[in-house]
Amino acid sequence: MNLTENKLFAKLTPADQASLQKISARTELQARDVVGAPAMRDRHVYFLTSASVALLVRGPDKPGLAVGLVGPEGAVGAHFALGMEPGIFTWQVQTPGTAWCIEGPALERLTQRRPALMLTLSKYMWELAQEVAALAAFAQLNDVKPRLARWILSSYSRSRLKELTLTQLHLAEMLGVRRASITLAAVELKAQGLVEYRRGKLLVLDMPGLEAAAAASIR
Amino acid sequence: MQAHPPSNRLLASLPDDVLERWSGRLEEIELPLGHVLYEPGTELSHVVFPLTSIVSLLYVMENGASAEIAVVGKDGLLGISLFMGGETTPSRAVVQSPGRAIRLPAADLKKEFERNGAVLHLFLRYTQALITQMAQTAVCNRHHSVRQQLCRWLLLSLDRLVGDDVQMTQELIGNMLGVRRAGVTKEAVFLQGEGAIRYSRGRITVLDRSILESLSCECYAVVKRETDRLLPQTARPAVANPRGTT
Repeated sequence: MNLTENKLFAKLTPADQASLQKISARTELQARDVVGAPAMRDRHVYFLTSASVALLVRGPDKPGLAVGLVGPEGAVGAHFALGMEPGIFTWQVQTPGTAWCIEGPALERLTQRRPALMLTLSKYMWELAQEVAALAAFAQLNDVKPRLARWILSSYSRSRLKELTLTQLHLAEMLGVRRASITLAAVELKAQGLVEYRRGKLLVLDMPGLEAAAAASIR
Repeated sequence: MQAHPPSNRLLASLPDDVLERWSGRLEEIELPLGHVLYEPGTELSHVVFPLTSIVSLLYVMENGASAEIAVVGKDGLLGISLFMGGETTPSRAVVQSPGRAIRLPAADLKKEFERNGAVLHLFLRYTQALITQMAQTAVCNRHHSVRQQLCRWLLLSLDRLVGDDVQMTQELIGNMLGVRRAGVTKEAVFLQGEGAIRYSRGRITVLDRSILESLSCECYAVVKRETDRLLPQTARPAVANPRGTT
């Protein structure tokens, strides 16, 4: 997949795109690959083209929580391009696919010379902040079923695939709940004819129905 | 001998030439309890740098329900979405602890922002600090007890205040934490019993923050460490003579 398939890259000027392309390398990301973590020395920025990556807060030996999901609309590690250190987050691949990898320091040097690039990446960081805010608020106000519906919808919107491999164990980790809670919620969604599991892959049967299930409910 | 005037951490970290350009445009204002600085759909006209007040950022869902996602005090600013996002925002900013703040017209900040210099970099670091706070708060809400959440919330608020008083009803705290008032009362009684706080007539006074720290989960420490790393404290005194002060 070309870099131009990434929507953030597509916002850049042709000149900035050309400069970025020169320092990027196409790569395949596998499911569960960790492409960024607090202790990690590598500082890579990934412009995703078909992979999707979850943004996690993970405690040592403790359950964590996903606070975001990035796909072809964005990038992983944009903070490195803006001169920042690794933070508290772990970036883990949810759906495998292609991405374009850039060394953080090289991209940082580029943004220092190119104000328009700097500004576009800065605005993207703010967008990411809004997504984290929305997900955090939704998690606080809703039970597992709407949260699960919402995560499934996000996962589909960040991928081109018609069938996603989302195991219940993985979903439990993303939502920060026990696996049993996912099982129960998935049973309900299935009973409503909204989703189905086929050969380990989750299929959405009724997208509008799932959107209704994901609509915020007042507790 | 005059005590150091209260300052905002972000303002204090900006270079002299930026602050000089803004002198005469900065205005000190009062933020009364419950004042809504902005909400979804409001067009922001100023950015606000709290000095002695705390503002709660609430994310408002489509059905009107809201959840607190961050607290902003002298460590931060309000109105960043004017420059980084669209002119409007999905959040509501409500004054949770009354006090003073400094505001600057958006147009003046815009000029500095467009220079791609100190102001932009500061906004970026503050955005990262905010993302960290929101994410860690989400983890705390999901996995930790009401007691731990209350300790975290009190400590974060205290760091952003001058003094040891948080003016707040238990019901409001309950709303902030997403728990029922009864749950908050129970924990406030416990903390009072431990000598950590005194609670009376809508005001919580922290008597011994080390007790709160020992009862807290790691969430407070994580947010504090990251905020301090991203936004180092400078020794510089407050902005000189903003309008509205004698």
